[in-house]
Amino acid sequence: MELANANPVVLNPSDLPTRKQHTISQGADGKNASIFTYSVPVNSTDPFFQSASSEASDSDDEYEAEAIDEQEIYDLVATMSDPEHPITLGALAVVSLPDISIRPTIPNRPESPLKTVTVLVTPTIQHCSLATVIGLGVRVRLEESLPARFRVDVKIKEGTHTTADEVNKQLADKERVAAALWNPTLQSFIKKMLETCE
Amino acid sequence: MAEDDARAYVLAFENDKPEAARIASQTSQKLQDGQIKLVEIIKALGEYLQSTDAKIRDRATNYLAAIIVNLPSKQLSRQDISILNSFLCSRIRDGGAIEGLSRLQSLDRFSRDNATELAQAIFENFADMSDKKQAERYQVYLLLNELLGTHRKAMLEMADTSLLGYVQVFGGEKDPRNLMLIFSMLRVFMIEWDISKHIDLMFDAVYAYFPITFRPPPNDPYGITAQDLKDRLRDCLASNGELAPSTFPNLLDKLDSTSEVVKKDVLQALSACALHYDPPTIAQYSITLWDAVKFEVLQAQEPFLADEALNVIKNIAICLSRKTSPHAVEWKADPLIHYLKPINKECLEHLQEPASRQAGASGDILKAAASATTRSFEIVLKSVGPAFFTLQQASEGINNQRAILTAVNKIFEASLEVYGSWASNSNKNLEGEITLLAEFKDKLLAIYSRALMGTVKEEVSYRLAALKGLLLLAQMRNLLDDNEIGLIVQHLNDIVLDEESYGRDELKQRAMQALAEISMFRARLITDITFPKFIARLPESEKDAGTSKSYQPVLEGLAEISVGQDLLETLIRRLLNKLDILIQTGYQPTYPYTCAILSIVYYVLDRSTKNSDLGLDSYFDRVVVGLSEKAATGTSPPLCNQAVLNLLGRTINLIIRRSSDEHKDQASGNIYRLFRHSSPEMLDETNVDRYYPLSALTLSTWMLAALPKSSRTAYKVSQASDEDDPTVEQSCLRQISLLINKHLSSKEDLAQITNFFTHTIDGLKDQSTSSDSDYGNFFRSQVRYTFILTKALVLRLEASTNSILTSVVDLLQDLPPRKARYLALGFGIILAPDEILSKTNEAQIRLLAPQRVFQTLVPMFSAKFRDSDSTQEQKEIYLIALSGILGTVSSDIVMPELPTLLPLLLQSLELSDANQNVKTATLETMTVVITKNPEALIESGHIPALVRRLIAVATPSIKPAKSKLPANTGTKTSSDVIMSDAPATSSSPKVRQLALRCVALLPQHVKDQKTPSALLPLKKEVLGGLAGCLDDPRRDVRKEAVDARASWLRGVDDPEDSDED
Repeated sequence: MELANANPVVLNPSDLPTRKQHTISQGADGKNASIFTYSVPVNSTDPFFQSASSEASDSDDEYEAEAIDEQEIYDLVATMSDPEHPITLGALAVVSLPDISIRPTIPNRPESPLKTVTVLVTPTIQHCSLATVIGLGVRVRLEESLPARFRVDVKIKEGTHTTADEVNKQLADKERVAAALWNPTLQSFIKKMLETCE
Repeated sequence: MAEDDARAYVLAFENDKPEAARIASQTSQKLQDGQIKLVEIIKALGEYLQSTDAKIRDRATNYLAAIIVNLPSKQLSRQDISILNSFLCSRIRDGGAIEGLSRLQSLDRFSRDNATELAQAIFENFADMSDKKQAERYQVYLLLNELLGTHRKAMLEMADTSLLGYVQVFGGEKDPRNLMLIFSMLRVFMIEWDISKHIDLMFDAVYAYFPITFRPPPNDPYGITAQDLKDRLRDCLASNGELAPSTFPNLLDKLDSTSEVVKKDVLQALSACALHYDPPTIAQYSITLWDAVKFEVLQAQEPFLADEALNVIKNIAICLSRKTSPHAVEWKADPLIHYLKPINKECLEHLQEPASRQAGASGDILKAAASATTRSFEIVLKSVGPAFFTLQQASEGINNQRAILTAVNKIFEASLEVYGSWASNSNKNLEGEITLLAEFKDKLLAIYSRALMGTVKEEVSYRLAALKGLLLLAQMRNLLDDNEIGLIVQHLNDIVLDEESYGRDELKQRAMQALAEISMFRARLITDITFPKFIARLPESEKDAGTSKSYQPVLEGLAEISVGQDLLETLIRRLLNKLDILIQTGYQPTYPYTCAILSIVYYVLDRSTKNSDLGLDSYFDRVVVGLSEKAATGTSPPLCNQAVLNLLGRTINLIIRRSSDEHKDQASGNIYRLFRHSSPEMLDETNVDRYYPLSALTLSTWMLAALPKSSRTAYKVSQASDEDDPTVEQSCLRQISLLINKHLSSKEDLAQITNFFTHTIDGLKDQSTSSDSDYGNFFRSQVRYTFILTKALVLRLEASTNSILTSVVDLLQDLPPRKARYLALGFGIILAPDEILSKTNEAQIRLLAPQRVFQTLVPMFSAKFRDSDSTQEQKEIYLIALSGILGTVSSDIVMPELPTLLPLLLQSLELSDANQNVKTATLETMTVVITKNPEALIESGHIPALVRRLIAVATPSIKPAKSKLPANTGTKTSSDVIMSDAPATSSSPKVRQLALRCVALLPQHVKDQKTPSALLPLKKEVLGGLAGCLDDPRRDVRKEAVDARASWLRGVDDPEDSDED
């Protein structure tokens, strides 16, 4: 197959947004910083001592709830690969952190658990014929990875594609999406895109 | 007489080989003793040699050959040799003749004429060997090879005759062993014969085998690989430049092959030719080659092919750099310039769009060409150097700028390779020239420094490229002076110390590595500039350090940088100075800063001993003696803190182990006194707490552990029962375990210990009658004592191992439930890695101990678990005990017992939530089972039960698992009822994560031939269940849930009826 864009600009992996690593600032016990591992008390492997102290440290998930945020959405889709290059959507800047937003689905009830995720997709070139496939792939990935209380909205970023409106219409139409997913060629495309997910 | 022997030989040959051999050697002996003459022997053989029966003739020739082989080298006269040679040559096709000839030609008296005659005979008789067996052909080749080796002159005199003759004989050979010989002979012809008239013939003789597709059969006894053949073939092709008109067009033709292996062979052959052909020849083809090979780099599909292609480009430049003979005059320009010109031009064109892929490849090409020789480097740099600056100024956008720096960095790398670094000279620069980059160094430094320090921190990759470039510049031999390198060091310091942390902190890490690299050749700059700056960032006291951990990256940095011996000593000295101040701190609940400093001291010392035999004696007085003594006085609050003492103990342990015997003896005499100069009368005191705070026992323990097995230290420890302070108790227990495991050797002593053990067990048994609520300290410490004894004895596999283990397991049954539950925890101790009782400390840990323990305990647990007399509570207790063992043995030991274990593991997943550790151990085992032994799972039929339990465990507690999953409907085993009334679970995040990982692993590994897959009926249920886990409060857990869902969605195939949602 002829490549739509044979020579795209690729971002260096060091430049992609990542969740800030809290190894150094965290670790009151120094457990996370490699060199400081020795400060762990010697009896940490002793079950008799563990049983006494484990209760406190183990079940602290309640107050440390970590909400789903934009970076998490980004991490879900950035590792998918482009249908024509073995390069990730993140490295091609097809998806980027600032173009992801999470808002309450019902604007006047922000405390409701219902949320809407919007992802704006930037095709590598204006007339990219695979924009729909990419959008569809992102949609599939998010729908299977997010809890049911999330609504997923995938659009082409404004001004980045010649037929953006057309593509957006297609991506927003539930029935057309469902119908498209029955297409075996599309299925294999999407499967390929999802193979590299980490 | 000669006739008799001949007849006897011919008769014996068929049926009795040893006898035949004996006769032959006997005849040789007679010949040596002068009893018979050679002529007589030949005469005697006459009748047989004339025979019309080929078999008889064979035997006769064999006889003659066998006699020759047995003769000493000086026995035969020139005349004898000539006669024999002519004779055997005329019979060369008969059996044994080759063997005899092979011996003859090795003799000193074998003349040139003889050699010529022999060669002719071979050429005439073996021109076509297609009817011969491989071994027979091999013999002929061997003979030819020997002739070529020992009678090279004779062969050379034959000129074309020998060349054509040899090649003729080689024709059509296919066997790899034979080809190995043929290739090495052909190479001799290529190099030493005049092949100008036979180029095509010679080329075809070799190239017919290209590319080698040979694949050795399994268990090949000859061990010849395809690579061996390829190497020899390539050497042939590369041996003579006259082949070039054939080699290059043919090879370039094959470069279009679709097979990557063939392409690689072609490129390697081209590389070899480029390196070995003479410069004038290569000059003719250099542009053609470049034009063909460049696509492999510019349009690279496979990195390894690009590397091979780059090698060709480089080798051509190496060849053309050689001082050429007067031939070169024919060329108007220098052939090297002529070759590099189009390369430079094309690469610069690509670099006009710096961020494109071709530009990246062009950087690689320039590097390859420039790294060939100093001359090639100069030509490349003169041509592209100024262009780079123009480009750098004209390009916009950080992407382009980064790409330019990356390309220039490649030129830097070439410079390092060609001109050498501070650390190592280059053999390409024997005159010690300075790199031509010196012309540009100020400009380069300015650009790179600006890129590194004048860019926002978000542009990580750009700054990384700049950092790399600066380091490369600093490394170049004789390029930068100390001030300039010092400036780079300051930049690096600023990055490590002053910059805010960002992302993965790659830049900080690389800056530290760069400092470490610079310390290798400019240690002084690091000591003068970096050390003071870093040390100044360290807080003065615990109070200053406060709660921020800002000192951690500084300390880490210091540790990373101090790789050289001098730096290391300076660092330790300064840290110990800090420590001296810190131990004067007043009482605090914890001393995180002191601990951090001690950690670094330990880490750095430990690292320095890993790759050298260096002793640590120099630290003995200051650390071992000085700090122990301070701890013993009890006046320093930090030195009464367990965390601090443990780190100090660990450090002391390391130093003692790495000290001289005198120091070890000194330590051994001070285990309990801790170097305190106490008054003599106190020395006899057995009650140690009169000397120093009991907390310092920790130090004693670490010191004891460091002493060699042979050391005779008086252990003064008693079982500290009923002790209030758990750390004191633990120190005592550890010392006991050391004593028993490491130092006891006599049978009596060991018998006594076993007695002790039985005693303790009996004591505990008595507890079974007292009420369960009497669960006091005494009971607990007795239990701990029991397990320490068990561990110490079992690890050295004492004879009583089995009975020891059995009696502990029996105790589980005898004790009332609460006590038994406590006892069950102890099984985790037996095989747990222990820092005191370790191999490093010379503890006796037998290799087979874990296996033995596992194989003894698991069947017992399993049997008791199945025993109908066991109550539910008891069953749970066995599961806890089992998890202790599971968590501490390697999976290789677990796998064979899997059928017994699986039901127990499944039950463990249903235990109440108090048993998170049990579940962790179980799930970790499950992970290994699924990845390494999915067959066992499939066979057991437990998969549905397992999957349901995993999902139940993984579902977070906030939303009580809506029992969509029909728990326990599938396989109802006898013990399924156990915990069915357990609440939905509130597993710890770690347990949830592990459970989800198991779920994710199943589709990847449970793939049997059986269709449909065993997982298929579960798919819908699993996907539904996992949907609940996608909303887990913990991010890490959600991640596993996402992976698990993806794995089931696409890993479990349902034929045709796919449902999305």
